[in-house]
Amino acid sequence: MRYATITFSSIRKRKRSMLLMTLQLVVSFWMINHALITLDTLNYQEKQLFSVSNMDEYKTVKLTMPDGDDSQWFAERFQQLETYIKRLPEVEGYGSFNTTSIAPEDFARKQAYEQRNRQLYAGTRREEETESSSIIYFDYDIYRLFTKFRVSKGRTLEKADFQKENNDVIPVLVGYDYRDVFRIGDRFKAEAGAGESTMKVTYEVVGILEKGSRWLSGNDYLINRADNLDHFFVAPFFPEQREGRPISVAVRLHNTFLQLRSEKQLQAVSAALRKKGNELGISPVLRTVRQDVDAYQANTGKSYDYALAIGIFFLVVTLIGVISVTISAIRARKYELGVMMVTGASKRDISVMVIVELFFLVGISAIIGVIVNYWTEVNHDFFGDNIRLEAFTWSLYGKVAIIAIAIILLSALIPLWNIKNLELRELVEGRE
Amino acid sequence: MALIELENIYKTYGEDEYTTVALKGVDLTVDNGEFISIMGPSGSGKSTLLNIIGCMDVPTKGVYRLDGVNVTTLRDKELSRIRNQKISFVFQHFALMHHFTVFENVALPLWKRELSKKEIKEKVDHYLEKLGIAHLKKKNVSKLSGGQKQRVAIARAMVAETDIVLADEPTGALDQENGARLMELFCQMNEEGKCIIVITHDEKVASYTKRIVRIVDGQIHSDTKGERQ
Repeated sequence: MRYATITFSSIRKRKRSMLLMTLQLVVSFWMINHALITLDTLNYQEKQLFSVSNMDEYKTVKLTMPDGDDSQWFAERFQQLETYIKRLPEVEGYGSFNTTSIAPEDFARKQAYEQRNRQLYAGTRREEETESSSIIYFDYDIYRLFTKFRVSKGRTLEKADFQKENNDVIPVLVGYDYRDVFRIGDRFKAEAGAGESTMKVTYEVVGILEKGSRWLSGNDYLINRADNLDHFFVAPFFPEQREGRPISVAVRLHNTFLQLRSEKQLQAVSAALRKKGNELGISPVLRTVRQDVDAYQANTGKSYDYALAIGIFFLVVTLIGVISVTISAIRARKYELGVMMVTGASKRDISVMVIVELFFLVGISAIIGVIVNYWTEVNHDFFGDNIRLEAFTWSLYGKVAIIAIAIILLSALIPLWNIKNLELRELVEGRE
Repeated sequence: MALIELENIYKTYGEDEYTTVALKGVDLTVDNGEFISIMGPSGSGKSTLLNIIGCMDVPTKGVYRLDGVNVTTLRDKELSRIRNQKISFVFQHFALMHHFTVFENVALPLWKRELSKKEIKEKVDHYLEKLGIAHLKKKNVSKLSGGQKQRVAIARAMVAETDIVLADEPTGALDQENGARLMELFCQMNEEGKCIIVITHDEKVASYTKRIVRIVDGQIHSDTKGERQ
């Protein structure tokens, strides 16, 4: 390995061209890594959907209302549509979930709660919101059919919890991070609703969620990273929310699902809802989770193709650059190589030196490229929502390593051919 | 058994009408411990002969035996091993690695050998001391004078401890005083048992050697043995 000393000394000597080449390679690896992450994220999003929830790709159907709004007119019609859906024999379950925030009040350990939030929110956009937490409200069918929640203490939610009347106490599960703040049976009050309909609701802690409990993002169940519920609350929709006030309807429309008894019933249910929608003057659209995933992947696939094309373009340009720099370096160092060969280095030794140099150049660039890409993704992170960060796995690093090795081999071919044809007598004959 | 045996060596460059014949049926035998000068005018083929003897080039025709081994059929890897273990070179322009220190340049032939760092250091230090350039050990060779550079080149040839030392116009870039010192060093190495072959067109340099081979037009014109002057 002593020839490595000569290699690194030679790199030091050509530091400017090496730096420029490294810069070019770093950009290439950054772009390629970006494309690979886009592809990996697509797979991860699909995997996450089915690992976090019990949704079925063909039997779980998302209901969307392209013409939905927060008007009284729409709310009344949507309620009629919901009643119709719940009566359909093909529908096993129907409901929605909504993620919002809650600010508990009137409880003994409020200080401890805010202290815990200070720790949890440190360095995030919620740093100033230590008096509140996120809460996910569920309809019973969604909770029953799709969630996988388990508790470390207390009990999970039951059917009766979802059928409370006004002024009843609403049972709530609290995240694992609050296990020392709340005890089973603790009660607190919190404002619920919006505008004129704001009201105080009393909640009672019935269970502490297991550490690492997760549920799909309320902003986008498919695209975003699932929420870690360790600092969340989970509760049933309270009566006011279930009753279908316009604002509640509008909110619930984001994440409304129905579960079919069989995947074969999709067409029949779609047709029935279209017909009912026509009667009501609204336009319900049904799409299975699979169709949602496919549509998203096809759409994102275009951005993947674009990122990949840029990455490959950079790669080809860089490859040409690396080849020409290596060849010119060999030419410039002919005398030096001649001296080495005169003192016993074989062409194989020289070739190894070139490969070591390329390994160094490409390897360092690949590592920096991945780090830069990670850094940019972290800075895109919005309160831990950047699902793309999940793609930074050993599998990704393996792919980058394979690409790096391919670049090394491809860019080494012509320089190695040049070395093979070196004439030793020409290298040292009276030249310096 | 002779150390170097050249039989009917031909060397041609180029093809068809551009062919140049550098050596035309050279026969030469050199024994262990000889001190030879190969002389001839420019273009006579003396450097080509040295390249072939030094395993830097292969003959177009003929047989070259080094220590009884036919080297004309050897591959690059074996030839490089021979260059490392049996032959050392001293060139007119020193053939040093410019951005390396004196120590690193002298240690160059030892890097291919299975020696520890300590052994390499001891050997290099020994020869630097012997040649009076130990104080320059950490200096970059580009900062040295011509005479100092040639001493570094000699130290590199000595540290390799090979049987043969080939020198191509070794005094060409030196002044008279340094040239004479260099030839004295060669004499000393020869007395220690090394076979020294010097290519030169300088009669004064040749006078240090015990045998003078003259080449004209790629053929050996004369081969004179005698005592050093």
